Amino acid sequence: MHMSLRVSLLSIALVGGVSTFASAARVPHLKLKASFPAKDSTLTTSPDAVRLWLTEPADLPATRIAVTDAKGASVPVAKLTRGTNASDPVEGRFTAPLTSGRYTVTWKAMSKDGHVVNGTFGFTVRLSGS
Amino acid sequence: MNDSLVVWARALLYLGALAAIGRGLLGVMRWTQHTPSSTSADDNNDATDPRPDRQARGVAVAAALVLLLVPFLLARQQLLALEMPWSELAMLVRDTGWGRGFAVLTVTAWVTAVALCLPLSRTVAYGLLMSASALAVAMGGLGHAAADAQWPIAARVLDAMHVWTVGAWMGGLLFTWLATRAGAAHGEHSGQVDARWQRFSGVATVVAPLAVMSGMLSGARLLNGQAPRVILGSEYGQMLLVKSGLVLVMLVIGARQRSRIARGELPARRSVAVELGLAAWVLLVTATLTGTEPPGE
Repeated sequence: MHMSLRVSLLSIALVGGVSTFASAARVPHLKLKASFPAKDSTLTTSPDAVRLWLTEPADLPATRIAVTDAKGASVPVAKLTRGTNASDPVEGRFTAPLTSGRYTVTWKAMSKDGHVVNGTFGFTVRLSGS
Repeated sequence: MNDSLVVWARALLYLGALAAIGRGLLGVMRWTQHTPSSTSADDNNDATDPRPDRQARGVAVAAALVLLLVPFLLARQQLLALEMPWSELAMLVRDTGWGRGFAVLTVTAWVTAVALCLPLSRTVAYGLLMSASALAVAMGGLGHAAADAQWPIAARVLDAMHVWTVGAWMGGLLFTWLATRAGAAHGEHSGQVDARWQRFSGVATVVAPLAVMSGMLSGARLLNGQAPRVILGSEYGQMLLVKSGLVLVMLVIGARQRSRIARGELPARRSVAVELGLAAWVLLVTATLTGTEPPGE
C-alpha cells in the first residue's frame, strides 16, 4: 500500500509536469473573425467573392458557404478555396456578378475537434445607376 | 434531437472504454500475479475454467456491442450537424482532421470490442489493455484537445491519461465487484476475496488521484484566465461544478472503502453500488460537458 502511495505521488508529479504545458493556453474554438463583405455593409460594386477569416484553418471539405438573395433564391458560388497560409480566408467566388439588392450569407465550418459552428450575416449591393 | 444523440453516443463511448480498460487491467494484473496453484473467481473468465463468470462476460459483451455501435452514432451526429448525407462520410474521413481522428477511434473501438468478447486468456488480457489504451488516446484526439494548437500532444496525453485512469478506477471497481459476486456464488474463501480487493485498492490509490488531477487540469486548460464569476455563470461551469461534486462524493466513498480494505474488511456492497451509480452520472455529465462551449469564447 505504501508503494501505491509512492507511485501515486510520483505519477501526480508527472501529470503536473505534462499539464503545466497543456494548461498554458485556453483552447480556442473556431469563430468567424471577419468577413468580406462585412456584416451589414453596403457595397457599391458587385463583390467577386465571399471571404471568411476564421480563427483556425477549418477543414475545407466540411466548410459550406451559401448565399441567397432577398427573395431567398440561391446565388451560385464556386467551389470553396483557401490560400496556403493559415491566416488566408476561405473563399467562395461568385460565378456571376451580383445585382443590386440584399443578400444573406450562411456559413458552416468544422473545427479540428469536430465542433460544427455556423453563422449568418447579411450585406447589401447598391450598384450606381440602378 | 441531435444534441441528445451526441450526449448518449459519447456517454456510451466512455462506458465501453472504461469497461474495457478495467477488464484489461485486472486481467493483466491477474496474469502477472498468477501462480499455477491459485484458483479464484478472477480466473473464471479463463476459457479453461469450468465455472465461467457469466455476469462479467455479459458486461464485457455488452461493452463490446456498445463500442461496435458508437462509431455509427458519432458519424450520424456529425453528418447531421454538417447536413451531409452518409455518402459523404468517406470524404470526411479522408480529407478532414476530424475524419482521421474518427477513423482511428473506430478502428481502436472495434478491435477493443473483439478483444472484450474473447475469453480472458493471458494474450487476450494484454491485447485488450493495449487496444483499450489506444482507444483512450484516440478519444483524446476527438475532444477539445484536438483543437489545442499550442500544445496539441500534451493536451492529448492529458485527456488520454484522464480516460485511462478513470477506466482503471471505475472499470476496475466494476469488474472486481462482479468477480466478488461470482466468487461468493462459488463459495470462494475470504483470503482470495481480500487479495482481490487489496489488489484493486492498490490500483485505485494510484489512479483515482491521477484521474481527478488530470480532469481538473483539463478543465483548467479550457478555463484558463476566466474569472470565477464568468465560469460559474456559464452552462459549462455549472456542469463542471456538478461533476466535481459527484466526483468528490465518489472520492469520499472510495477513501472509506480503502480504509475498510486496509483493516482486512470487505467494502460495503451498498457503497460500491452507490459509487458505480455516481460514476454513471459523472459519465453522462462529462458527455454533455465535452459538447459544451467553455465560457468566454
